[in-house]
Amino acid sequence: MNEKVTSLDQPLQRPLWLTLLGLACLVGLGVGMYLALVVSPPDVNQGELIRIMYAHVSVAWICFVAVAVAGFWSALYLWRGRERDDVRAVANAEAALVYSALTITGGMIYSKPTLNTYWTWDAKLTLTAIMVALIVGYFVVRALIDEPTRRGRVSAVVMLVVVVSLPFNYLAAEWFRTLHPAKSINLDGSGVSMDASMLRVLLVNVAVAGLIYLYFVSERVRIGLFKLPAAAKEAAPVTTEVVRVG
Amino acid sequence: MSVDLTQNQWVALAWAELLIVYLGYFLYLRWLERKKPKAEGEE
Repeated sequence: MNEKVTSLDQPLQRPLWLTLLGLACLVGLGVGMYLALVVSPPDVNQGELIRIMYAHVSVAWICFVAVAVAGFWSALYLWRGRERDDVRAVANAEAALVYSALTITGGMIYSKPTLNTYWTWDAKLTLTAIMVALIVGYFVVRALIDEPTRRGRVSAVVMLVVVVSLPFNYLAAEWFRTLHPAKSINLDGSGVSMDASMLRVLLVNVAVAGLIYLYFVSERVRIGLFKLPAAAKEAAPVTTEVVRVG
Repeated sequence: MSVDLTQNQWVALAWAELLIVYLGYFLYLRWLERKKPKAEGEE
C-alpha cells in the first residue's frame, strides 16, 4: 500500500515577505494612530470626534475592496472551477466580514456622539446591514453544504449578490435621504471637501488598513492552500482520484 | 441605552474596538494554522 503524502505532512512555513508585511502592518498601525490621535487637528464642528473618522472611513473603504475582490475570485471559481480560486474567495470574504463588522460597529460609535443615535434604518445603513447579513449568509451556506464543489458554487453566487449591492451602498448617501454624511472625497473627480491636513491623515490610515487587509488575506490564502490537497481530494469532481505518492 | 462619555473616551472606544477586532482575527488565523484537518470519515 502506497503511503499518501500531502503538504499537510510538512510543517507550514511562513515566507519571509509575509513576516515583513506583518511587521510593516504593526509599524503602519502605530504611525496611522499617531497621526489620527495626535497630529490631526480637531474639527471645527466635531472637535476631537473627528479622530474616529480616520478609523471608520478607512475600514469602510477596505470593506468595499474586500467584497469586490471576493466577488472577482468567486466569479473566477464559477468560470474555471479551480479550488484555489475558492480559497482566495473565502479569504477575501472573511476579510470583508471583518471589515464590514468594523464599519458597522465603528460607525455606531461615531454616530452616537455626533448624531445622537447609534442606528437608524435609512437607505445607507440598511444597505450596509444587508451587506453584512449576506456576507454572514455566505459562510452559513458554506457550513450547510458538505459537497465542496457545490459549496463553492452556491457561496460564489451569494458573494456575487453582495457585489451587486456595492454601488447602491456607495451611492446611497447621494441618492437617498440619510443620516449618513455625504462623501467628502468624490471619485468622479469633482473634488475633495476636506482640509488637506486631515486628508493626508485619512489617506495614511486607508493605506494602513489596506496593508493589514493584504496581510490577513495573504495569511488566510497561505493557510487555505496548505490545507487544500486533502480537501480537494475529497472534492474531486472527476472519477479518477489523483494521489501524490512519495 | 444612555452613556455619558467625553469626546476623548468615544475616540478611545472606537480605536480600541478596531485594535481588538484586528487582534481577534489575527488570533483566529493562528488557531486555524495550528488546527489539524479532520481525518477521513470523521464527522
